[in-house]
Amino acid sequence: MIPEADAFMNIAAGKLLAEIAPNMAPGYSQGSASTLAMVMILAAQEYGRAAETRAWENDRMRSILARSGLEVGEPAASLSVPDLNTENAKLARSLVVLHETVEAHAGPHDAALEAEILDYLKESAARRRLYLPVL
Amino acid sequence: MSVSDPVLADRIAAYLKATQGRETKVVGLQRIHGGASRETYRVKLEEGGAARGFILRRDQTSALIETERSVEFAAYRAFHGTKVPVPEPLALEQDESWLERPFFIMEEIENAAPASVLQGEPYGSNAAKVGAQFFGTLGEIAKADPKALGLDWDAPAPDVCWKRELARWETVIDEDEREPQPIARAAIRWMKRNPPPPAAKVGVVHGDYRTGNFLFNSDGDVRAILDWEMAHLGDPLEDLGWALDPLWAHHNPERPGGMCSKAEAIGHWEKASGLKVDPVALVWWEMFASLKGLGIWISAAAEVQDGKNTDPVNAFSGWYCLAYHNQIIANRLAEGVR
Repeated sequence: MIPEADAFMNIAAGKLLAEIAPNMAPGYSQGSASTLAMVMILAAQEYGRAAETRAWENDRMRSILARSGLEVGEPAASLSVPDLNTENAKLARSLVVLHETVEAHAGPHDAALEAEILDYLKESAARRRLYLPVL
Repeated sequence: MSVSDPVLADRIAAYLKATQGRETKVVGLQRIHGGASRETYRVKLEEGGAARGFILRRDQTSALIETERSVEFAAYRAFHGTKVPVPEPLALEQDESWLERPFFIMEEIENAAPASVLQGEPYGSNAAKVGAQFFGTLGEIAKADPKALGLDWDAPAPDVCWKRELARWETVIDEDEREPQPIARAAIRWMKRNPPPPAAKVGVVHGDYRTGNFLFNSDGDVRAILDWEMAHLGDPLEDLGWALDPLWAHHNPERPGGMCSKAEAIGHWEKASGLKVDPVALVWWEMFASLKGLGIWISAAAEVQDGKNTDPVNAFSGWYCLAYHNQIIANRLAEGVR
């Protein structure tokens, strides 16, 4: 699809910020138009990476849960973002339970597992971070 | 300024005539952008040939975080005329028949504006001056005696301030999460396992003291502290942790609020408040600040997802701010929270 959706969202955001909002009367509508532009910039970032981020997260969570002997269920039905989200939510719920369990135990295996979970959360948060232009 | 909503303008004039006997005409009415808990309007009146402006804050049909407008109004009334600059509160109306929803009105502060969190250097060469006032004023709020100010809000014991606030925001997350939040849950458990020391003082907590919630002028004078809707009594370090949060640092976490170094900020606060910051307690309250942020952003995302309040600022918060605070917390947890 040309132009790609993310490219056009960035173009549209630029038009909103530089051409449309400045020509609106100051106030709520002008502010909303500018905020919409920011949301479009964020959506453009998410568009390109959404499936890859979720697929990576799901693989990592599956691996952590499976090595702890937990049932991980069927993988996502497809690589569509909604299907990956459904799988992601199911795995994340199990991860919360596993994390709470390992925190409550003090063995070396638990400490290593906790470190692995924290490492996963850190990398997941970094991958999901969104960036804004500095005005 | 034009009248953007003539029906609302007529209702405001009718209210002022009926309740205050004032013969006024609303010649300007404009909704101001921002503020997810209340609709905020700038109102211009013509009264006896003279022009006067005020701010109207009306409840939303669906609020991001449920707050009592009477709490916000009481805070303005308590601090007006003190070292903490606030607009003069003029009227609180709980009767929904006037403007469909409860509201209050207050003085308009002219020739001053808030900073946007998107700006890189909102204060320019006045950054240090603004920082001294911003963190100093927060110290004044911490120093204040709630009883002397007439604030009879429920006061927690010093050793349960943290517990009450954490429970409040855990409940918000429980109710509003629309997808699992493993980072928020890990943070909550860490905070329960590592409680802070008791509050050195139970005082007034503004609840949302940050960039964007105060007005300053081009000379770098802080003219008004706004948005007191989450005010309560508690540990004053709660506000300090929130004000220091990297999200409000204008893209430079080394300069809290985009104003000064963290050490300088704490110095201004300690000097004004007469309190000493316990570093262990501050670590906890900084963690709490980011978790409270998650609570607000999770609620914002839910408002949009549920179709209750689709203001784009809620989508922005649910995406950008949520991802930002998730990373702050995940990094702290991975480092053992220092």
